[in-house]
Amino acid sequence: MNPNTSRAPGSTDPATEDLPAADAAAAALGSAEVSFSRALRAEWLKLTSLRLNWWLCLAAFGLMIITLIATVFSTRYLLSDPSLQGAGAQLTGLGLFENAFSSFTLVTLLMGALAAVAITTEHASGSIRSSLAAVPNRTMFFTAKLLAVCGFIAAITAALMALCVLVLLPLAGFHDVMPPLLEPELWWMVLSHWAVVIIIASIGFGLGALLRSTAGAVVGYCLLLFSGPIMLGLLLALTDGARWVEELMRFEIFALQRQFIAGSASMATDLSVPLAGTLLLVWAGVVLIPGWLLFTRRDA
Amino acid sequence: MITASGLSKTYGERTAVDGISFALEPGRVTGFLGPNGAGKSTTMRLAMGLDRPSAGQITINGRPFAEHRSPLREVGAVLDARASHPGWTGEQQLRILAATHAIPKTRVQEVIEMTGLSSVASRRIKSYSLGMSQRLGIAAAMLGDPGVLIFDEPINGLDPEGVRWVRQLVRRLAAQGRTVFISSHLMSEMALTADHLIVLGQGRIIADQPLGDFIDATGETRVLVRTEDSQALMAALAGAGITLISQDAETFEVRGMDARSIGRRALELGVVLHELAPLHSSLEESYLKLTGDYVEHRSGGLR
Repeated sequence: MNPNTSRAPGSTDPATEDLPAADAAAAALGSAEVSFSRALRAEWLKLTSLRLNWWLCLAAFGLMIITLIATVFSTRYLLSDPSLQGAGAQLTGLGLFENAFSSFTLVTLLMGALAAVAITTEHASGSIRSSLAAVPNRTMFFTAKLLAVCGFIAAITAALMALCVLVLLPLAGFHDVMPPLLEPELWWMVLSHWAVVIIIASIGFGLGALLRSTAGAVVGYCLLLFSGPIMLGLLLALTDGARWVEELMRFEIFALQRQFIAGSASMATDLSVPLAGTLLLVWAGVVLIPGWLLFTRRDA
Repeated sequence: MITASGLSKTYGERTAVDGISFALEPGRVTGFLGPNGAGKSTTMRLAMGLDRPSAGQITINGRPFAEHRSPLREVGAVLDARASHPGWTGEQQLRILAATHAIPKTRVQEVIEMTGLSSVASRRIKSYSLGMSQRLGIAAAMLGDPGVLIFDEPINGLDPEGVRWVRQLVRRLAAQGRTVFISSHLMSEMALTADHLIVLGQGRIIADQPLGDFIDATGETRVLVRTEDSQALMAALAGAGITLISQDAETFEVRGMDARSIGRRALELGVVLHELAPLHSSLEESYLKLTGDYVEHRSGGLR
């Protein structure tokens, strides 16, 4: 028993009772305290213990493998066009990666769902009660869970990136369209895609904290990602291409993602890369901060 | 030690807990009784920091629960047997909780064995019966070997062996000097388990006293009388404030007069008594009598 706990006068010593090794337990437990690193480890264990998370990861890998197979077969036809040979070879090599990496939009969706489920499942199953009994500091709990989710998504996305690079580099070499490996373009493309998946998926986590419903968070996440371009496109048509709508379109999540990723690729961009990246973080913060505030103030 | 002071909780317009104050001492089992909706579970949730008080405060060992640096070492709670993710195994659930305090795996195995879950620890929780889930909840509560234990309806769904095990466990934990706070609707179990009772009615404390005092305070004096001349003695005892209930030709129950007075009256009449036994009220009778006016969800009569 915790030595700091007050004990009734005349109570028996735990060792004399037949609870299994009560004193041994007390000695083994020592001054076990909750800390951020321990809370983080517990959240990591939760993520890796859930089958649903591995199914979502498997879906992401399946999607990537299908994309890569399609890329391998389509490359032959792409390169059969003489206009893509010679001077255009480097651009085609990057284009090969751009084509394959476009499927990371769907990976972002899957990882966002994973992030949302990580927190909504606590409420849906009622396990939030035992979680908060172990880590009652809600800011610590929220931050540890967010960090664990982002770490998990980062690891899975990195594995997907590695798979892409491992397939695409030999493919590019085979077709003699190898992009320059010592130039930053290729590696920026890899790094920015990786960062974008994590940042946007964290929006799913924030929505999960806000709504506490898996269905609500996943639907809200999809609406936030996809309704923006659709609504703004409609608005642009209705206003005959009004300037202010065009301005707004630059700040929509997918537009910011494109501008951030296009940093050193060939796409033209209105916003600078740091600004686009910062605005993506602002989008995440706009959902995560209210989610954190509500999580710390609401009844569990 | 658990201390509540002016504790209130309102949900919208409904007041679940209305300014209650109490102090639970270590070394005894405090039973928490009250009709459905009286505020028992809300009070326990407030103690665990799951809900925030609208007014007042509740502390555990002098601090609000959230301020403890080693929560699992301070308090173990079973508030909802199903408060676990169904996709985890029982052992995974305990290891996850243990990880938050760096509690060694050997302790996880100990509580698994202590609660009799060894054979199902590697099964997913969704396959657990309610009784198994209760045992898992108790295992989680015992993980940090805490000094304060809060159990909300811990024997729901347990088989008779499990009920007896919980009773013995709870008694033993209190004997070790721990503070045990337990709610239940099973009066017979509470009568065997609790030393002290707190009874809530519509969010307010309507009794806070030792179990024996509670039964004596709210129970009525009843005496069972057996005699061959029951009609004559009943006629002699009849009077204001006295209720006579005939059970058979020779037996009747007297309410409102003690056994000594009845014996003296029988002697005066020359009636031979075969039995003169004071009847003690049960906890259930005392409880029902006390809380009758506080029941919000009353059952309809049998047809």
